[in-house]
Amino acid sequence: MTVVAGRPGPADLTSATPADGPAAGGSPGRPPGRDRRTRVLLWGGAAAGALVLVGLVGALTTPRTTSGDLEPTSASPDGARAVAQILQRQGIAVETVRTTTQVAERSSALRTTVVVHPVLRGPEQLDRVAATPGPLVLVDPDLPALERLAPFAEAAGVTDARAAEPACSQPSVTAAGSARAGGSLYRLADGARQASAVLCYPAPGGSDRGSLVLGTENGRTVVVLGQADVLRNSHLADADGTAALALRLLGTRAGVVWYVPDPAELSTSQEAPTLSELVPRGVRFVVWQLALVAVLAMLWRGRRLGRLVTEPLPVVVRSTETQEGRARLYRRAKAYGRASATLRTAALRRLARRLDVPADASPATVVALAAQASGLGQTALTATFLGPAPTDDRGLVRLADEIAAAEAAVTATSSRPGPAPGSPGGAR
Amino acid sequence: MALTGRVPLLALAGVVPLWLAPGWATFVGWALLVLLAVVADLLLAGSPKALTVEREPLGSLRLGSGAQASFVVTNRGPRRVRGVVRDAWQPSAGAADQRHRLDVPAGQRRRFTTRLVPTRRGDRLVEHAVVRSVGPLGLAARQRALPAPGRLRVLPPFTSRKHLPSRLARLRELDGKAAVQVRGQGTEFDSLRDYVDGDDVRSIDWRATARRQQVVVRTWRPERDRRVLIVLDTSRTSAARIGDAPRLDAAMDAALLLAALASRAGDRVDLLAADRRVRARVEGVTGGGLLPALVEAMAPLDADLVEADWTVVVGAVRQRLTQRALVVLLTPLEAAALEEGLLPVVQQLTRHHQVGLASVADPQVAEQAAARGDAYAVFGAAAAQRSQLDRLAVTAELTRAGVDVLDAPPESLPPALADHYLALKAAGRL
Repeated sequence: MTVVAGRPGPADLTSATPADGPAAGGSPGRPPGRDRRTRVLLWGGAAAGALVLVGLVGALTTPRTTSGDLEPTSASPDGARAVAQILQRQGIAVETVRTTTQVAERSSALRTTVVVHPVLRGPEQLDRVAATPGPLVLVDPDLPALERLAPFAEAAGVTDARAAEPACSQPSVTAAGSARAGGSLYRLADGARQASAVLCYPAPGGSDRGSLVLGTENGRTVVVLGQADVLRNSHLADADGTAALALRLLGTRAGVVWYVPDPAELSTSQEAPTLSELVPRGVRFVVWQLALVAVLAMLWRGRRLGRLVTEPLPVVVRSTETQEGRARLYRRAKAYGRASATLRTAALRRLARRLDVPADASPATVVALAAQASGLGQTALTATFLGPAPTDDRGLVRLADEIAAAEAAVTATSSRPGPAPGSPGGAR
Repeated sequence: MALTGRVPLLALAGVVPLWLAPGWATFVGWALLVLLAVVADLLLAGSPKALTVEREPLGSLRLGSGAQASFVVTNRGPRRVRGVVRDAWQPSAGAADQRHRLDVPAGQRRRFTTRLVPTRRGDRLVEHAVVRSVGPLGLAARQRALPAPGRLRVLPPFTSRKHLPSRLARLRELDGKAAVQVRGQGTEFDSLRDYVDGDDVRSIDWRATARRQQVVVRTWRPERDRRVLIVLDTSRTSAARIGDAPRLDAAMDAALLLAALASRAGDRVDLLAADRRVRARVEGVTGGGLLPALVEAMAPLDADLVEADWTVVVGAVRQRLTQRALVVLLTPLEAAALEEGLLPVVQQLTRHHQVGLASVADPQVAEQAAARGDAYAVFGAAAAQRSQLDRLAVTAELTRAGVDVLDAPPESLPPALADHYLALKAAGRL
């Protein structure tokens, strides 16, 4: 993913870059403001393109199935896709919900509500589930869920999973016959024995504990299923009546609301105390007091000892300012011709002064006399001073060095002291 | 009104009761306590309105030296005033420590001294002294700015003073006090004296020798009572900085050395500072009063960002000079400014006067002109040499018009100008 994210999307690149093309890196003639805008556009476009690509790749690679325990869309061994598909093939719509509010919205008397692993649900959420009108199937509930939704059953330990006979008088269960059982065990609560609660698939030890309890609560059937394997893909194809049991438990109504609790679903506001409720009362006031101290300290430090005194500042202009500006212009315009002409003229002026040539002598005369005085070849000096102007950086630098060398040669041989090579005139 | 550091400390102490008995009552109660203490302290503090500040007059000083600025605080109120007083000088006055501890009992006065080492030439001002009167609890203070205007005039430093003795010695050589004299056009007869070995035989006065029957020579001395007018250009080109100081300051230095030398040589020195109008002038001051008058006139001058109007300047010069004089223009040799401004009108000066132009050169230009290495440096060198060529061209034009041009870096311009003056003097061209 990161590789994809680093590469800008080609479509966005072209739309973000202005029409004048790939020179967005800042050609010298372009104003800096526009340059920056182009850069911002370019980066923004690249980021947007990367996002789109990531999204597309994510959407394409995301499987149609999910993973997760007892998910109706999960095809993994612990998923429940098989039973959900069988139910759908029978015309029973399976709808997966994640929150209790959705449960309250979707459930009706014509739908069975399956509650998968209700662990650590708050009372308000359990209340919402309890308020649903349709039949309820609780898969491996924890104690609070059990107490609230199926008070006729009590948790009674766990046992190894195995196949077992129903051993009870409930027709819908006995019709399924031997099925996957074990897991969490339940016992009928005191006072529930007289009610219509039925215990099936008893544990091997004693017949008062079993992994399936059917009862009636609030006028609707509530099934407590201790063995989640009954609904799982891995055991649905078992040779016994597991599949039949699952379908008989879930298929009693025209639809199924499959509630897979989302751990992130907040229970209620009153349950989670805020930070301010957790800290001691004294700390809160101390913090307020410290804020007051901070304000007072600002007042203390912020008060100036008298108003500011104005200082009339002088103008600051560097004397070489115009000259530096000219140098920058030369560089920007790559004015090789102008720069080399200036260097040559100034050097010839100095040479003429040193060789006692009148100021109005022609450059050729000065060059000839310089060649004579220095012993350098006249053709070389002519090329240096009168040849074509250089056309690139290297040529210009070489020319400057040649001029300096020629001047040094003349200075070395001429006995007469003259002005320094740096200044054409010197102080006069 | 102002708080002291004790107020937040007192508020901080409120943490203890708040921890022991948390509640809004404690919080508000402690805040009220602090407020009450502050108000009581304010009411008990001595009133700064009852104070008056008198500043002792300050003279002037050369840039680079220090001064003691004193003021007296008088308490006319019924209560003692304790706290701080701040002497609010401008930053460039260089006050090392502006704040003084203040403790003036009722009806008494105290004197405070601030040491100033100004960092810039010109008038450094102070408008007020700020008094902060702290209450007896030290929690709160009453603050007031008391008017106490003052001015310290900072004069040009005249660092080229060190060149003066050697130039005066050269002047004495010219002055007939030395034996060897050559008669020149601009020299005048001084005296007759006996010939001694080494005297130039050409200076023997044969007529006097015949009368005295001893060999007698004439001595000469340079002319005296000539006029020298120094024109200081205060336009934009003088604002440019070389190193840390504007060109104008270097030009002032050169002007001061020339004025000191010329006044010792018996010439009359006047000064004119101008850009579009005459900014300062010193006229008709002779003897010991000249240099103080000059520095006093120069002290408040700063270069303005205006173009010099040479028509006005030349007009002012001609108006002031009736006899032939040496006119020294202290202006930067900026090709564009001079070609358009000075060159068209300079003939009006050279027709009647000896004109010299002294310019403060920037040594950085020569440095940059010699730079080599890469294309960047060579372009820079080309630009520097271009400006040098421009200066040469305008120098040639000025020379053709009869102006002597001096172009030297800040530290060597004053002696160069003095030497130029001495050369003119020796040649009798004044």
